Amino acid sequence: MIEVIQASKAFAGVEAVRDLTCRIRDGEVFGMVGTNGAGKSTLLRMLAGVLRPDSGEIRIDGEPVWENESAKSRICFISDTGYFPINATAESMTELYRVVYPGFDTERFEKLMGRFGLPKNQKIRTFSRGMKKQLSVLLGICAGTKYLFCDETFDGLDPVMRQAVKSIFATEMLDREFVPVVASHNLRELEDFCDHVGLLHQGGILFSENLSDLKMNMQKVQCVIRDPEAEKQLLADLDIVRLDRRGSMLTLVVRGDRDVILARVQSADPVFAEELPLTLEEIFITETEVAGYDIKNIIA
Amino acid sequence: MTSKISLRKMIRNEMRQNAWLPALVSAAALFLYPVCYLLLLQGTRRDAYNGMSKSEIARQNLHTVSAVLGRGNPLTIAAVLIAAVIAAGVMFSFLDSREKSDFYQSLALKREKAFLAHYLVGWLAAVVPYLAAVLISLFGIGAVYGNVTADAMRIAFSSAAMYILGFSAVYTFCVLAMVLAGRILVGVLLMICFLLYGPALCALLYGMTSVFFPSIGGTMTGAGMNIGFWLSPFTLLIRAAGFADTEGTAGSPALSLAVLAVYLAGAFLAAYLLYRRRPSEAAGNALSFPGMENILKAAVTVPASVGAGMMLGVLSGSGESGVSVPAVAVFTLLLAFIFNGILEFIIHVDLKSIRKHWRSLTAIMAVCAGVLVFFAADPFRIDCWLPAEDKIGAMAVYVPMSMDDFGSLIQQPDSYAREVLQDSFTENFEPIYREVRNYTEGQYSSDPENTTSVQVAFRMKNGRIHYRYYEIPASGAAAMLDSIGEDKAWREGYYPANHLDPSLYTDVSLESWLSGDYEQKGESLSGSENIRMLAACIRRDMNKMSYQELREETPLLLAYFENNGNDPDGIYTENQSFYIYPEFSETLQYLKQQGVDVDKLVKTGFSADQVVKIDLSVFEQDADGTGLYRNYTLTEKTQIAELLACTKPAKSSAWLAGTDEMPDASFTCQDGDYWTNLQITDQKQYDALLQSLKEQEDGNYAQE
Repeated sequence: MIEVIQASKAFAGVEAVRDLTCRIRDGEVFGMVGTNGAGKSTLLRMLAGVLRPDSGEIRIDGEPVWENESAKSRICFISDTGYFPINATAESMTELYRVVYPGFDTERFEKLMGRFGLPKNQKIRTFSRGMKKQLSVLLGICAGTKYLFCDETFDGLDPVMRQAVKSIFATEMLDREFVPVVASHNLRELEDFCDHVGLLHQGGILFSENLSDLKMNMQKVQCVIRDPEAEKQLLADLDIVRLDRRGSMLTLVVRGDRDVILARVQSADPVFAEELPLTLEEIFITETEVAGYDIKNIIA
Repeated sequence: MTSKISLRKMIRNEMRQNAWLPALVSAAALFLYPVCYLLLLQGTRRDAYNGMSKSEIARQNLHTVSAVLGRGNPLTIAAVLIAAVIAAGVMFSFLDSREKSDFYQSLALKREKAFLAHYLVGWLAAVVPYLAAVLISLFGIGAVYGNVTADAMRIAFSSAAMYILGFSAVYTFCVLAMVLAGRILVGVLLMICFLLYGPALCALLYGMTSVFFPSIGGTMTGAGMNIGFWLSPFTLLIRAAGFADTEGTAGSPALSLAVLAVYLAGAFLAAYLLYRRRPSEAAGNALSFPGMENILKAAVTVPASVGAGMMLGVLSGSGESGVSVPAVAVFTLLLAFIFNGILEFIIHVDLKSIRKHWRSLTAIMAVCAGVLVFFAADPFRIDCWLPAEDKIGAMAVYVPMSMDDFGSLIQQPDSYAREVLQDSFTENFEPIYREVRNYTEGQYSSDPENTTSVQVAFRMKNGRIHYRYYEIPASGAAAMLDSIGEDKAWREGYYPANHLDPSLYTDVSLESWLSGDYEQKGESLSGSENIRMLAACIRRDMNKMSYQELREETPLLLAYFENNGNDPDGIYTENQSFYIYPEFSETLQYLKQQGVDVDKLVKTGFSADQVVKIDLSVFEQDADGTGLYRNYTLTEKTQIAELLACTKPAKSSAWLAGTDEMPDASFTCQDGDYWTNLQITDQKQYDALLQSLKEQEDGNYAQE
């Protein structure tokens, strides 16, 4: 488990991370979302032991991470641009990673390289941006560390690649202790990967929730109720988070169990009633508006 | 399972990734050592076919070892600097890149180990190829040419040890610079700063002291520059290699090496500790530690502005000390603004930051102004220091111009003045004290009378000795020496014959004191015993005469002590000459005993019928004060006779007694060539002659 306890970090007087507390549990894929300058990279770099927090603590499996070889040996950090020596090839990166990550799985790496169609002996500087990101992810996965921190690594990957990586993550998590932490400024991209999502804004964490719990407890229903009295009663009975009305058409975001909500709507004898899919974005917007933030302007 | 990274594997990996660095050093070392060694040994072998003896060949081969593998190879010095800068720049360049920095610092490797890995790889990449090249030269090529001797190995290994230590120190300073910087360019600039700052600052202080505190500056001679050599590992290496002016310490690098070792240890510790504390977010910033900015700006801008302002002030002004203080002040403040701006731009890459950091700029300019006030106004009266007379035990004085009363102008090493001062302390120092007091009270500052430099030593009653330098009127210096020159004990310490070591000389030439060409060599004496006896006679005769007597007397002969190849320590020995006066009875008698025809050599003056030509060199000043030497050639007998009638040959020290004008003249006579200064005995006649010479020359120009 990773624990962040009231961590803060400022650069030249500007607070990049401000009094942040959160927990990343084993067995889940943690997604960190926020706009540019929210503090995602800073937080990830603090988790990786690259930056030292000005205050607060960061612990990896109970050990402070800063200058702790034992704690850091459980981490592989992939930054947003990735580091490749000037004339490196995938093969030479394998050698480098074997030195710096003694648990590096060369065989698995070669299999994955073949599966993703990445060339072994071509100079990495000739790769496209997407190919470099793919290579970074594969190296990170095969490093064999418990935690993999990816800083905007998936941004720009095509949906096929994202799906492939998702399945690799799932396999890794089944086979061994593996906790990916992925930062992105795109909520929609994280939706495919993550079990748990945290929303960062201006150095603080606004929201951190398990996605299934979130989706299970909130439903979106569109309906038309003929009887105004029945409509009124319906709206009073339900735990409505958000209500949009267009003429007689109601779009409701309701907190509660799906079957119970649908049954209650049906009992109001609607002309029309339909359950709509609720995106992560809508959940976030809804929840954060409740919290008092105009989040529409924050999320891309 | 947790796995830590092995330091050894990390070093191997870094070496593999930067394999081009040792390859480059190997290529350079191959050329500098084995190839050059081979070429020189081949040259010697070729010479051997031309009849060189075996011992000559062996000596030449040893010289080759010294030249290529020894400590005196200037190319090695240059290679040390280049290798240190490149190795440090390459191995710590990751600190300027956020991606690289993040990668390395996210690894399960403590910062100390990471530092050591990068440091060692850079060090090994330079040292191993160098050592390999030396070994190949010594045992590979040397074996082929039969030059693997104990002496050759001693020279090669001792020099290699010295250069490895020197490289380590310079390299570590370069690493320290890279740790303190977040950009490679700034790192390289910091390297230059570390390696040259100390000597440059010392040179600046030395220059400022010489200009504004001449009473101190004049005693420093080369000392200031010598101190500067100790303030940087690179200049210290140059010193240890024997390239610096190491007066009195040539051939003794032990202290330099000890200090280099201290520098190495200190720089390594600093780099190590600072690397541990270096914030990772510094990657890409100019400086790793924000607090450095103001210190760096002040440390660089103040001396740079003051130094450059001084240079410009010297070029533009002609104040009392040759420097226009107002010009220096204006230039300094302007340059402070410019240099500060440049540094601001380098650090922030934004000219607007100059306005933003106006406080630091103001502080820097205030410090510059303070430095100038300290030197120019001398508020603490440093230049006018004079202890109370009752606190002084004894004083000594050295007047360089007075040495011309003892012999023809010979350059003395800087240490000679100190030697004379230490040997000629006198408790009857009132004449010296009076002159110094007049100087410190400013009585001489506005007097344009001819001045001469004097060095004074104060031996205080508490045993401490202070040295000072003054420019005092020549007549005052002469009067002072006349007075203390009555004391025989003083003479035995001051007169140069008492400081002569006859064993350093192989021959003595004897000629007229007017002789202009030493190659003529009237007569000569050789043999160590003859030289020793002659020197002793001159010493005894000279000590008998008071300084005033010597000054007023005209010499007969010049005894020129020469060193023709006898350099026991490999140190060049300055030749010495002494006038032999009519009162030197013991000396003259000895010379006659040795068969020297003294009467034939003596020439105290010239007659017009014997002189064929006179080349006259006259110093003239224009209306605007510009001075230049003007040369006239007299061939007409009437002109020659006129000149001889209104002048007489004089020692150059006659100027000391207040003679204003002293043209010098080369005489072409029937019996040889002569040279002398001329003292004017009839100013009116001399001026008329000069005027006619000028008109004659101007007429000749018009005709042409």
